[in-house]
Amino acid sequence: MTAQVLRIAAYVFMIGGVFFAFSSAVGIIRFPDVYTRIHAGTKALTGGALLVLTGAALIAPTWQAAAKILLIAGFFLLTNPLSSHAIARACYRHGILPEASFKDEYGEALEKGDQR
Amino acid sequence: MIQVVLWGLLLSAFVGFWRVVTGPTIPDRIVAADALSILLTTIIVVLSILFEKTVFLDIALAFAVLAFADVLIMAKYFEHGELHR
Repeated sequence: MTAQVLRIAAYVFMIGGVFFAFSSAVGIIRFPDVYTRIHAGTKALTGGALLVLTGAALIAPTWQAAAKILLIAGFFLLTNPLSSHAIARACYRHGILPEASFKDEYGEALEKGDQR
Repeated sequence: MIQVVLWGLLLSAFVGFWRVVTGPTIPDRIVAADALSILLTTIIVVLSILFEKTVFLDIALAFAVLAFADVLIMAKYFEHGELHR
């Protein structure tokens, strides 16, 4: 009984995660700009991967495997925003501006000598 | 049932790979490659559930760490044009 409920919950989590991952891939294809592509490839993909990993941890064979899958999920949760932030910062410092932007507060702060 | 999850993740990976191939600028390719690395790590975890082999999880963890360092190095190289700064 409990195993059946766990299996159904795991498949619900996994199908939801696949939906988020596929919408993130469509966003990476369809969005017009580097920054919007970073947005699509970070938020939706982190959520989708976390959902799929949670579902996988629910039907893992042993509890050691479940702990290891949750460790991978925590690693994603920590590092994926970090890497996308690094990419966005590198894009800005390389001179790529967002399309249809009308205010640049980061550039003004850099001109005032604020090294962030 | 778990094959459906696997094929969905693979389809997402192929759709994202199109941006790696035809990205107009370099950061587009870096973003798409980052997304691909996360999708491939998730695929390895689902494969370990499918085949019931726990060894795949260690491979997935090492691949996640290496992909993270990889993206950071690519971003730093793209920002400065060199690495030793």
